[in-house]
Amino acid sequence: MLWLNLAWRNLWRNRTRTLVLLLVISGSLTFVAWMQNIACGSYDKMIEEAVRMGSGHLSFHHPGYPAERLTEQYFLRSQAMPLLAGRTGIAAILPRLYVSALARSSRDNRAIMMLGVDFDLEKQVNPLLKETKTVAGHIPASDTQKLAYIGIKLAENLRIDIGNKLVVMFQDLSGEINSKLYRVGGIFKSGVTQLDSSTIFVNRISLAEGLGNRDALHELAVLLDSRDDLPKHLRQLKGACAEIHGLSVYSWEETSKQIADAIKIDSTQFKFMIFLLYILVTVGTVNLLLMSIIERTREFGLLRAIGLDKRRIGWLITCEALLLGSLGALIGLVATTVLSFYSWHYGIDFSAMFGEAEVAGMLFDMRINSSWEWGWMFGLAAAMIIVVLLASIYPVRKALRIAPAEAMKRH
Amino acid sequence: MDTVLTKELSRIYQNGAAEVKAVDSVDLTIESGEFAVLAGPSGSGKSTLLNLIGGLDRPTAGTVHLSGELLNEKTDDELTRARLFKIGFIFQAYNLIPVLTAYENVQFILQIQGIPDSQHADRIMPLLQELGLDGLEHRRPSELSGGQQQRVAVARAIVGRPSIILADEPTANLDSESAVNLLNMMHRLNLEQKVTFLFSSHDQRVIDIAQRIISLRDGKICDDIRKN
Repeated sequence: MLWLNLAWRNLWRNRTRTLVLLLVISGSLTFVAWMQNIACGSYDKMIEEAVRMGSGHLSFHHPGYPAERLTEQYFLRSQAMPLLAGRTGIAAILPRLYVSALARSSRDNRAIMMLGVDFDLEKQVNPLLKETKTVAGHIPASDTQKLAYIGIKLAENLRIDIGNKLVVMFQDLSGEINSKLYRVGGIFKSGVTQLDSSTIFVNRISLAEGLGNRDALHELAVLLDSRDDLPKHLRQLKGACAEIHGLSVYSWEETSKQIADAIKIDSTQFKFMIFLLYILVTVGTVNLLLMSIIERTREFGLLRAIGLDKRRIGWLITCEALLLGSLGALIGLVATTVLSFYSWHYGIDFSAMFGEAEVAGMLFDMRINSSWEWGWMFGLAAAMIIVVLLASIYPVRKALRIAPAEAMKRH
Repeated sequence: MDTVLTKELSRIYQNGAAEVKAVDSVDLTIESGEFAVLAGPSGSGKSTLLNLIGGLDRPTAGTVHLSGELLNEKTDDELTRARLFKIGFIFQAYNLIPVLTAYENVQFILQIQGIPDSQHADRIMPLLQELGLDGLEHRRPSELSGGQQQRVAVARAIVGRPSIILADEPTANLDSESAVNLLNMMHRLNLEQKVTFLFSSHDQRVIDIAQRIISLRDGKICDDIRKN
């Protein structure tokens, strides 16, 4: 207690310097820990929106489909569904077909991607199939076989509107050319150029019949209640799929590789920024601790003279650094908690600064709610204390080199 | 019994190509219970000799024995330990720890000596009373006058029960009244508690009160007078 007590009082000898150091330490910690919470919140949002728009937390495909995406690389719904029967922790199962086609109106034609979906299921989870994205008409119901929901740019290019006809031509599963007639039931505007100019959503059953197999699927996307359960489900389903020919299961990281890579790159850049910031904190702390040591040269000489050995002088300065780092870390953690609570509860709308973000052909809402990365927060706080302790090594060595007789001559 | 014994003690500093003999072949014995002063003009080597005896500096040649122990052969840590247990220092500029109160400054020595906390008050309070500091024990150095600070420094030097107190110009920063009071208190401690004092000073008041005057000139002892 003697050393902590003395160290604590020494810290407040120069109140301004200590406050500046505390501000640097706690401010840096707050900045990186809060940013980390926001970053992780944005990653969570990206993943959740990506899995809803894309292939779910996990998805079933023909083994060659994720790489080649050929129409004939399909599997049967009846093969995959039994694997999910009775499985808990599943929020939604979304069967889908993806077919490249040529859309023709009476005035123009365009190459398109036709998505066969179950509208009622998709409307519950898919951010693209929300009425807020609908600029004309409505999202068709699942039992409507002949209505299409098309992108606004495609509608403009084909010069069609609600109720107009369009014919889609595509290759069926046997390689024959087939065509189907639809009417425009709704027009959406996603904000993603590629989607708005070349995507048509249609009834999955009607498209499957056009392909020649009512049970055919290119994707069975599975949304889980919690992403934490993904490894368990994936491991079990991969085991089950190994026994079924022509069926494989993939995680979102495999099917939405661009999103996963974007998160990985962003996260790596952020870690590098933390590293740089901590180096700056180290330099600043060394500087201010050193000033404190130099100012007290005479006093360290006195302490040596009256019988304090080098080890205890080193320990005294280490205690000062420990208290400084711990107090800075504590203030930083409290400030991070307060700021993170705000951004977790109310969210921060970055759209005013950055607009909407398009990553890998998907559009993300820029209102971010931060997550609670307690492990990161305490890890960064511990790292900050270690950084301050490391920063004290040089000043400690400097103090221990002070010869008492020489130090006592200084005024 | 000899508290301090030096033989052929020298301290030479290099000043460029020139050698400066701050202390030159000094043979000195200080016996237990003495109240002695190293007197001489500035630059005569008083403080250097005091530093060598106190283990704050190392001799270029010769030996220093403190309570029978040869200091020359001790490591830095052993010298520090010797200073802690065998020597009490009083400096010209008081040199109290500014963040500690008067009581805590004195207590600090007992704490680093490893004396149990339960004994601290019994050893410190009578000493503070003896030195006229009762009621001031909770004040920090900045709240004390120069004379009061120097009395705290005396208490700090004595509380660890060292073999000798080395006082380097202890009255230099004090007004006349404070200086006389301080000297009288130290003299009383010497007479009543047999505390050994070795001063370095050119203050006539210190020289007048000392029982033994060791005069230095150019690093050598030029006179050694014992009063009756």
